[in-house]
Amino acid sequence: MVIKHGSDMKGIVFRELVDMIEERFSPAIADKIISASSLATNGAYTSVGTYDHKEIVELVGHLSTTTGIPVPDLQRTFGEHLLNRFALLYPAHFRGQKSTFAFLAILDNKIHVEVKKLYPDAELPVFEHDLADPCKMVFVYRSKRPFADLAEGLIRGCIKHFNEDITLSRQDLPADEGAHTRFILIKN
Amino acid sequence: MDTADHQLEERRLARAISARMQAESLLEQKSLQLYEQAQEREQAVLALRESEERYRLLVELSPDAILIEIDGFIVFANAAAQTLFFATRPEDLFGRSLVSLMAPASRTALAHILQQNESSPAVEDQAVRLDDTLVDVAVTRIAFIYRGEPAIQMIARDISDRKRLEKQLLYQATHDTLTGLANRNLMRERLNDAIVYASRYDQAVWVLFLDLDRFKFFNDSLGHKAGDMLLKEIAARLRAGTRETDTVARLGGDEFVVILPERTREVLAVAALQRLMDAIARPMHLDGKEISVTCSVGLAIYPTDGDAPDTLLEHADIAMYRAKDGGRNNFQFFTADMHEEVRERILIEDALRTALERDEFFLHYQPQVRADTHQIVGIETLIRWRHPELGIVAPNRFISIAEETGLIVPIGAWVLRTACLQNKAWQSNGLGQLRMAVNLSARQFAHADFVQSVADILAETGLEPHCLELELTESLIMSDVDHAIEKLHALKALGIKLSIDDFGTGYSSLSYLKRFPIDVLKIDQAFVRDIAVDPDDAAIVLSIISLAHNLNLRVIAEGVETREQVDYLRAHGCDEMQGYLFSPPVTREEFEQILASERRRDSWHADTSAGTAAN
Repeated sequence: MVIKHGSDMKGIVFRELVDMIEERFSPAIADKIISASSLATNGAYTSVGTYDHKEIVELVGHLSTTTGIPVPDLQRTFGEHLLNRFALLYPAHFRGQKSTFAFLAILDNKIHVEVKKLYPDAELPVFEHDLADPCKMVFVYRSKRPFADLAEGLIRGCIKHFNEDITLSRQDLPADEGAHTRFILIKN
Repeated sequence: MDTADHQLEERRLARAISARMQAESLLEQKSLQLYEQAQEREQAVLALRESEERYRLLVELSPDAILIEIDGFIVFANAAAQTLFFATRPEDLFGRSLVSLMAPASRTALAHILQQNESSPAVEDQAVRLDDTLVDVAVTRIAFIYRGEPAIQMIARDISDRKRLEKQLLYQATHDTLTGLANRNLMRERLNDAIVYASRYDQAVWVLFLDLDRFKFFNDSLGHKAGDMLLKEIAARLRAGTRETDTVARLGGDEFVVILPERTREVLAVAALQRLMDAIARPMHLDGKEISVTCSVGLAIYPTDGDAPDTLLEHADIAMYRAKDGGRNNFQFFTADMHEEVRERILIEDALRTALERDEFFLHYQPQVRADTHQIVGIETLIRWRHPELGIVAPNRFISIAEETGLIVPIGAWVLRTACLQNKAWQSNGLGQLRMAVNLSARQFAHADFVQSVADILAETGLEPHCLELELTESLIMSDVDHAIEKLHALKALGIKLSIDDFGTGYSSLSYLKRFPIDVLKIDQAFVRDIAVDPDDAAIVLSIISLAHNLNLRVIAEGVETREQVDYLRAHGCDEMQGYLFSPPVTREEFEQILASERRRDSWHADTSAGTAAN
């Protein structure tokens, strides 16, 4: 298979999306929205491949149309699902991390570094964090892709994973393309 | 299962198959990539292994010693290192440090260099072998990583052969091969150093120029081998008689120079000199013969006699010649007037070289008269030199120089030819058949072609041989009697006359006199001068006259200046006379006038006689 231009997102994300739709909704709905979308791979995704993120946007869009659930909610739900899956598939990255803050803090300069090693062509979002005090973390997400809600879902999934009582608020910042969002996490 | 479900399942299956194929394709792609990477890595490993193997061979077979040190311990040494350091196995060097293998003198500096952990360019140093001997090496040190650790690689090359050769060359360039003494180069260098030092500390430096007396005689009579042994013995004695800080040099032949630096007290320096001369004069045994050699020494002292090495050496040399003149086994300090003499000598020698071609010589003539009638029977020719700048240069100022330089040979030939031509000319002009006496020099006489050249000149000028008289001195004949007598006979055979000049002043043995084929004895003017007042001189003159007559020789008295001398000489049978009383040496023109007036007087006498007879 030839990796086409615009193939910028890991196949695992696509696989997990399709899997989640089949699980949460039904294989028929999954098949329906795949058939409704104009996809380069006709919805056949492998976790070792890389695909255009727009296919996610399109799939989620059709899912929203089909189910009547708003796109942001679907993205958040997918984010939470994705985090659970990551924790299951890649336990090594979670081992040793005891809190949401700790995990988010190493995300950019540790986990993404490892991912880059394995997939040199992966385009990863950029996270910046600032631990103003032990109870408050400012986490800025910047991506070429419009996945701020997905990111929020991932953070929420993370808080759930570590079973912490953290209040998450978010503030969307102006961006030319994709997303630029500041998340504020406060421990209760 | 209804159709819709069936179709859904088919699409899912198709997607799953498609996904699997994508995954397989990607995996294949990835594994190919991995294979290629592995291949590249293998090539790299192979290349590395080859390069390591090359390095290992290079190091092990290198003729240079190569050692590797990590953390101050040698961990590798090649075969050349084993050889260089006299180790039984390379492993014997392990565990030591590189610093410990270098000469103690350079260890501190080396330790510092090694601490910098930097490479150093090749330097010459000395290494210590395991048996504690030193060896000259050229060393390069390279900082590098060896088996992952910072290490120092030392490459050492044995340069002891080159060093030895260098030392030998330096020694040869600065020492006399025969005696091992300093040669002229080293001596000049040492003298220069001594002067620099002395000028700083206000001290004196004594320069002794030493020449063995009659070395040529010893060398000729004992043979060159014995001559060399003699020089070696002299060198050893000079060396033994001087301090370590003094310099004894041989310039060549039998010339030695001794430099005594840091001498301020003259008494001590003279004492040292005297000791050296005594040491040389001590008898020595050569080839079973006991011989004694003496030397003549000239001294020049810094700063009195010069402040440059060359000046001091030249002045010491001059003084040495003066010492020789003053008798052997003698020493002489340089004085300023010696320098003046030498300067004049050089001036005259230079001028003399061009005097012949510039036609600066001319002859003076002094008549020799019969004691009884005062009639002119002979002429002594005397050389004169007029130099455009020096003016008239007296013969005693230039003859000895001409003799020493050998210029006397062409000059003497010129005198002989000119005298013969002149005599022939006078004869052609009817001025009478006179003997022309010409003085000979030792050098001229000794010349192998001399007899032939006289014959040639006679033939060339057409002068009858009996009109030529050659004056020789006693010393000239006595220096090699047998050879001289042979030559005298050859000259005699040409038909010319021979006389002995300055008779009575030389050393001639009377027993030889009768073996000389000579015609005339000339009594030196020293005896003639006091003939009338000194009975001893009168007695000598008388015995010379009677001796000459007994041998059938004519006698001429030189330097006759008074009537009393004339009377005495005539009364005692002297045949001929020469001196100011009759005429000083005069020019050609003047002499011609003298001859002319004599002819007039003779013809007047003849006329008178004829007249008387007629009467």
